[in-house]
Amino acid sequence: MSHPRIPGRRFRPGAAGATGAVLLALVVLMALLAPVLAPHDPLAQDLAHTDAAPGVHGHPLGTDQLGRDLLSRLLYGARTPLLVGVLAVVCGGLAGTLLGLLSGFARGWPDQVLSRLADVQLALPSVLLALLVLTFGGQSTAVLVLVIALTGWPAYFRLVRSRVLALRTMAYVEASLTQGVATWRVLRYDLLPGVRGLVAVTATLDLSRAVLMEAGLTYLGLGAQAPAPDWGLMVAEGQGQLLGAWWIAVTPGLGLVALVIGANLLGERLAGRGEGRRAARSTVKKTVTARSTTA
Amino acid sequence: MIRFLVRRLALTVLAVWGALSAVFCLLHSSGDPAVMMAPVGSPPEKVAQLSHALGYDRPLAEQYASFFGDALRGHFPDSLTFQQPAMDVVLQRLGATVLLASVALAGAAAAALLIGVWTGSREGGGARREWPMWLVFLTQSVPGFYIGVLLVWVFGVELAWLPTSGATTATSVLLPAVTLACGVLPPLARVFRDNLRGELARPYSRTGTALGMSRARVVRHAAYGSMLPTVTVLGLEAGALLGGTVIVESVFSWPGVGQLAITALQNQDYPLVLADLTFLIIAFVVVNLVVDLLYGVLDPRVRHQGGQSR
Repeated sequence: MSHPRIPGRRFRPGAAGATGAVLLALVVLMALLAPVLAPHDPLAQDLAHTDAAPGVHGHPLGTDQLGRDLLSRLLYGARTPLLVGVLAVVCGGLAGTLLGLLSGFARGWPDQVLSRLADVQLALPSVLLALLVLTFGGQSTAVLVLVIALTGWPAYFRLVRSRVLALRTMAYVEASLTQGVATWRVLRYDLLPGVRGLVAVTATLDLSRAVLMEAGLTYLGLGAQAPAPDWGLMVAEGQGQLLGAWWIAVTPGLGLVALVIGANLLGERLAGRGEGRRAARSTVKKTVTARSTTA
Repeated sequence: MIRFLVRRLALTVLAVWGALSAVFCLLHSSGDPAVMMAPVGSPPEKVAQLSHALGYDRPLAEQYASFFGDALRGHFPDSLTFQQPAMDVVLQRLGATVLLASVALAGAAAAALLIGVWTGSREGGGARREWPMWLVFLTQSVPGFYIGVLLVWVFGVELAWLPTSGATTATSVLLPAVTLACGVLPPLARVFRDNLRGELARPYSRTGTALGMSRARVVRHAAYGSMLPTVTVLGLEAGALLGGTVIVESVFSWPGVGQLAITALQNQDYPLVLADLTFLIIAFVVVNLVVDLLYGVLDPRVRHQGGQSR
């Protein structure tokens, strides 16, 4: 799964960033207001009106193979991808940032160990690793979140570590250290503020990766289970109905696309604003970090 | 060169060790792995028998030591659905996956060249020149399985032009290959385009133009200059393709290694899942190693600098 960069200079970041924010807000609102907006119970079956086309029998987006209202399922279906995505980003981001702070600050052998660990993590294919963990470590939402976070932390770690290595040599950090300021205070008040922007940008872009991964694993049957409404699962369920009732599979996919594009556009906009721009662009994607040849 | 080799090999060994250790820990995380390796609903004495036969009743440290040798030699418990060594079943499917991945990679490379030259060879032009790049940006925001489902819908169901599942005819490979290629295209197209722009801005391109060379010739020379990073990304994506095949092969029921993992999972044939995923993960690590070594061959600077500072 690759991370985004703005295609071309002519892509106006202002408009793009706003579009991204609006799309993201829309998806969040869908998830939050689902109980208010949904015309039906997302699980209520109506076997008399299965595979109904959009607009008939009082179902604005039609019904699925069990006669469940697709609009209601679309609204509720935003919840799992969003929740899993955000939780995975928070876990991976926290772990990566803390370890990166420690690694860059302590240097020496802790840095060596953690850096090699990140290298190994990046050398392993994330989807396959996730499949392995979910098969043999148990399937649950918690495991899903953890495994997505596990494959995400090295991006934060590398960025934060290299930034902290640079910040450490700055006069104000040296001053704190020579005055004997407690280590945690240096980390908290001198170094953390310097990496906050970087982490925010990475997290926004990482959200799209996390959502794509959640959707893919759910599509394969390793995420949310039927009859729960979940966009990835709904696409999988609708695939058999493409002949005659294409809307069942096509509609929920649009929700996923909106969410991922939103995160990508907003992330790009944020990356373009801060000085973290170049670092974020080149390090988030491991291909570019491992052997940066574009420079 | 030696330094580069040693560093790279050390990382490979570490990665393989890490992956296999993870597999081992996962296997033993829920007690006796024989419970998962035996057919569902086996009586306890059957499980105990299997546990003994597979050596799961030995001390953990001893098992850990022998697990590496077994895994690297492809020794896994027998597949429950196929009644033969799991790794044999996996290897029988390898051809289909390699075919699909090669077609996808070739297609993505060709598309990246076209898009790169189209959008990168000229400054300005606005949306009329930039639109393929927007399409690429859109592509990377769409989940692979959704692209697959959309292709099935449009080309398989509505237009009924192409087969949508299995590998029955020569055209079967087209839709899965396009889907897989969509996942690889964005980084490829971007790296080629960005480098092409960079090369066109360098003095040799300007000199060529000043001497009256045609634009096409200048772009061609600049394209040669942008090949190296593009080839690197191409190689890296070859590894990433292995992960993508699991999802794409499942969408199209393509009889490859990736789909095998998912069907085995649905059949609760855990020995097969284990062998399949372990194989794919090790293959991923090895492919990436080969690509890196090739890169050292292609670019002498990597050899001489020890491949460290870059």
